[in-house]
Amino acid sequence: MFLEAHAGRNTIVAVPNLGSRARRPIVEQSTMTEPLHELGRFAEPSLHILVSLSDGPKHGYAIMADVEAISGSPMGPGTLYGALARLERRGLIEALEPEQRRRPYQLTALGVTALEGQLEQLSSFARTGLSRLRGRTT
Amino acid sequence: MSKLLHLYPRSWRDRYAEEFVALLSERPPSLADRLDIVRGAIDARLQPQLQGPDRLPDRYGFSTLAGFGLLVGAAMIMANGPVRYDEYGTYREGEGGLVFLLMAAVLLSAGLYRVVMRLPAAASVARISGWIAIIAGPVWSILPWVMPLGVLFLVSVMLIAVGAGRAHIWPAWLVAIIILLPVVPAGLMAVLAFLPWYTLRVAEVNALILLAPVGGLWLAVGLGLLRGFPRPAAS
Repeated sequence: MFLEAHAGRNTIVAVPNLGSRARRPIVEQSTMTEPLHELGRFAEPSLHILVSLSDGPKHGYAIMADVEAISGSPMGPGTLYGALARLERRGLIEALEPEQRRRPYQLTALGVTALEGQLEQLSSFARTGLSRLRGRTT
Repeated sequence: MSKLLHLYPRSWRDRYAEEFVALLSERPPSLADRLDIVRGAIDARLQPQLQGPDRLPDRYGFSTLAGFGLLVGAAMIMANGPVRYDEYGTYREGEGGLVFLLMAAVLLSAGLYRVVMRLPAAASVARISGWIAIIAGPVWSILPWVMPLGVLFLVSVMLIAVGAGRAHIWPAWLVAIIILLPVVPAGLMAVLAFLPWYTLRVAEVNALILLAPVGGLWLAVGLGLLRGFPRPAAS
């Protein structure tokens, strides 16, 4: 086994010694982004919520309105609270003291790190796709 | 809208209902939103870890519920076994189902073991009863005609349930169900025994009266495990 450090990521992954041609990392994702990958159908709504909270705390209705403005598609209340419960459970967001009956949520330090990792991954993915499109011979 | 909210588990409602209602008062739900709420409620029911921080579900509940399936399989095999005529009378040979019965009993014992391990040390009667039930269940499944073993097993399970109720592991209604499941059919059989037109020689009828409700033990223990144990207080 080799230990391989990936540039731009704070992850060290184990790689089986299969010879140079077959040597690929088993795990490519940063451990900081794992909480979002394992959320299944709630992964995308969760990312939208984290982005919505990135400029400060918001309560449920404000998150829904913001997500609709960011993504262009509405998020249902059941999906919103399914994702909020999962994010809170994983320590990526935290609930603040209620204001009247509305409870605002904010990102935790872990949530900020996870969101940064996720957005960097998406950014890298988008850059790769765009550069390949530009280099395509027609 | 309150009806839709009641689709969610109680612990979920305790945590989120107030802000959820506040959200819906700001944005009256459309039909799509209502469907989304129903979907969210199903999700909350299927993901018990989202219900609240107070309980930890035990996945062994699924194997205990699977034991109920094996029990049904055993009953079907036994009910369709070859008819025998001998000095004991006329009955169906049910040996083919004994393996399934044993596996079902082992799975129930595994579930009971999970409960016994959560009982406090002070609940010594329930803990001792637990170990008796864990052993007596599988032994009774091999020798189902030895009724004292069955009585020992059922009484032990009832004592575990009482201990779990006193330790606030299981709610009173679940304890009551586990006690009533064997007591009601046993009482029914006792009453029927005094009726002149009833004969205890009808073995299949006796088995049905006694075993059908007892089979509910697998469901009750399985659901009790999936309901979860109280989360230990943070030190």
